[in-house]
Amino acid sequence: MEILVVDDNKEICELIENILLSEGYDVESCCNPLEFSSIIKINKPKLIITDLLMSGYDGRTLTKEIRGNPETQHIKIIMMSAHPDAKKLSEIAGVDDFLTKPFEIDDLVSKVAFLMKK
Amino acid sequence: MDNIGLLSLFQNKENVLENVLQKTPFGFSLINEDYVFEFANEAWLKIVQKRKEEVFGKKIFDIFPETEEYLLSIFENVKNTREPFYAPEHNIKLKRQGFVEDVYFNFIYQPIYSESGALQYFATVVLEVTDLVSTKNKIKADEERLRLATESSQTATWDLNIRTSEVIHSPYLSKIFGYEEHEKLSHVEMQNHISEQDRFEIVGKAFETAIKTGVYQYEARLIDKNGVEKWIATTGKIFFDEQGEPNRMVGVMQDVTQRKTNEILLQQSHHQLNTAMDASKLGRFDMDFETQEKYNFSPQFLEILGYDSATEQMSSEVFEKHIHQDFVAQRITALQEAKKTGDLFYQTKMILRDGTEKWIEIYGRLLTPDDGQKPYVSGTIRDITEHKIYEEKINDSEKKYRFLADSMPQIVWIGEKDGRLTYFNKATMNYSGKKYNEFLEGDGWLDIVHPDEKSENVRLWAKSVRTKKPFFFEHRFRNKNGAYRWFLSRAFPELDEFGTVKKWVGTSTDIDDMKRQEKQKNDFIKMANHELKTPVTTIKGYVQLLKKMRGDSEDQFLVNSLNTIENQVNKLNSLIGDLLDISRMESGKLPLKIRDFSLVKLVTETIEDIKASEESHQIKFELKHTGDVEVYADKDRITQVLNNLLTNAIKYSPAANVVNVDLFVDKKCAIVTVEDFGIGMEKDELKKIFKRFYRVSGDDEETFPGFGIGLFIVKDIMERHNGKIWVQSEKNKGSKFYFSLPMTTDLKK
Repeated sequence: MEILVVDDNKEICELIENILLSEGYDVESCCNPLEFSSIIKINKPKLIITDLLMSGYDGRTLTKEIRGNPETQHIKIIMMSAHPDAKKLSEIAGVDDFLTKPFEIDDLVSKVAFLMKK
Repeated sequence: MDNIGLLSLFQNKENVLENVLQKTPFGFSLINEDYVFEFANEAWLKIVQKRKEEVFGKKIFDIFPETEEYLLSIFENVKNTREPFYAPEHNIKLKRQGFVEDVYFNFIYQPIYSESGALQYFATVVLEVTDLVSTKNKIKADEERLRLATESSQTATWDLNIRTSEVIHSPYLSKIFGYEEHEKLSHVEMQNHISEQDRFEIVGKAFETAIKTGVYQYEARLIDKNGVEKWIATTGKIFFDEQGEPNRMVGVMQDVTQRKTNEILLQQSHHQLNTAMDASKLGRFDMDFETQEKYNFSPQFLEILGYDSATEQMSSEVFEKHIHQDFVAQRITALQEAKKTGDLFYQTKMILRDGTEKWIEIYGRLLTPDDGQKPYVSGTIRDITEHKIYEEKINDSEKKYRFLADSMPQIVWIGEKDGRLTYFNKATMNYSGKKYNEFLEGDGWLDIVHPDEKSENVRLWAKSVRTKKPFFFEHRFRNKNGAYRWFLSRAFPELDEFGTVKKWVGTSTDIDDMKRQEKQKNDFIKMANHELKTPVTTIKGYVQLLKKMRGDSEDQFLVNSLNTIENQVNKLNSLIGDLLDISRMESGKLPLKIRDFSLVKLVTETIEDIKASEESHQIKFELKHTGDVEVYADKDRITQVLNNLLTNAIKYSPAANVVNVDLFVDKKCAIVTVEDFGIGMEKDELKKIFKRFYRVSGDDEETFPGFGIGLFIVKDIMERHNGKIWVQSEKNKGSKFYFSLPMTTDLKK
């Protein structure tokens, strides 16, 4: 697994999975953020795409955990959000890139491609 | 003895005569024409201190050589004129009883002729007048003393012979008339100096009175020699002759100019005082300090109590009868107080004769006259009926407003011009649970203000007090349970005609519920934004994915449908964004991300984006400035502005196919215009289009889609950039929107 999508909305998870699958990436998604911790223990993806505001477990906490753990801190993170101030908040949290919801597929694809090449 | 008897005595009995002459108390001597003594009696010898033998048969000038020079001419004169010569009060120093005394004699030299008419003798009669002279001298001295006394008391004396109008006066009188002391004035001259209006009216009349009564008295004006007006006072007494006819008048005269001037001044000030009293409608009275009986009621006093001052009088008892019975006790207390302090003051209701009621105010003060008369209270009376009625009215309206203020749920307060708060309504106490006085003392008011807003509260209030501009502030007040609620405070200054603050009237309205509802609304919109955007993201994502996978399909219906869905989803997304913007704008939470960027590039890019989705219109861009135009602004927000204007231009010109965009620079401002050739607007519409939820209607009253908040947001964005937005429009011709932004160089300064 190269890319893990974490969003509490199942449809978003599926959409991104579909887009990236069609681009030929190895994608999996997790639509229950509380399961994320157990998944990450087993799998170490290259990129995580997540949302800033999720019920119970938001993108900032996720970023903190990834960055705080030496085993996972190299993982790239793209943060998404419909929140008007999300871009700034994400930058503060220390993510690699940001995507406004709703997004253009081309934007998503190019940002993913850029980070996967690194 | 009759005259005939005496004559015979002289003729017949010479020796008898001689005996008589020898014994008479006056000196008598006979000198013949050769100046030889032929006879001298004892008295004469005693006076000249000679013995008979030393004198008889001797020439006078041999005995008294010192008299020759003086007497010879007298004798010669007597001889020629045959007139007797009198030498009165002749002073001779005589030694009597061992003392040298000043002795005075009257000498009479009488020529005696023989029957033939030739000079026979000089008869010398000497009469001692020492006593008379000393009496006379005493009188003279007395006169002199009187003169000195009168002169030093600046009193002139005069003595007028009424028959001849001859006048004798003291030197000081000359001075009064402006002459030198030694100059003498005639009665006519004096009269001519009296001022014309007083000459007959006063002096003439005084004289007539004097003839009747014997007493002459007047005060009149005179114009002295130097033209100075003076006041004189004269007092005189008429002396009558044996027939009872006036023949002489003696009197004194004083210069009373100073006193008169003072009197006139006093009169004037009295007059002024009276005028002032009249104007202030003050009545006057006096009161005996001991008995407290009132008297000397002035006309105004009587008028106040409904009396006709011209025909009616009043007494202390009558005055008291007018006092309303409810105030009798109060008045007695005031009078008792006056006995102690000398100050009298009370207000009372009076009942007039016609039954009407009046309010009066009595004020008096103890006076002790200079002339040693009894002290008395000088008092005034004032009609204060109107004042009282006004006071009652004020009290009524004050009560009314206080009641109004107290029954309001809002907090109402009043501040002085220096910013001190001096009144709070009941709602203030009810809300805070504090006592009225706690608000007036120290930081009473600030104490209930939330700590977070205290300093800003103080700053804004001080600023308002300083600038006299209204005060607006939202802050939280602590209630009696210790919880805080939001209030909107507003205060307006009440200015007088000079622009000085008389009072600040403030209100604080509880807006806590409003605030909470607003927050709930904003929270809801924020949540709705988030929740709506999730399905939009999904729809948009799948449409794009579909387009990507099936975009090259020959099924044109599919391709068109996908494009329409995508466009509508984008519109839906921007509407959701507008809703969020407006709620953030209202709560002041729409942040600007300001940086430098090229406005030319922004305009070009935005036009390109619009072109991609809107194919109905051709957008013509003209750059009317050589070189790039850089501004310092929030790029996304300015894009939003232009986007909005372009979308509107297309939306409101359905029949046209061109939109013009210009960019130029004017006075360090970058100006962008968006011009359409659509439905345009009436003048009265122009003012409304920047308001929230306003939408322009088409000809057939069909409304155009949208929330009507686009231009409202646009205007807010421009204002927050210190920019401007305005519009020119003509109905059915089209509209031209302008927006301007300060250029980078200016803004960075």
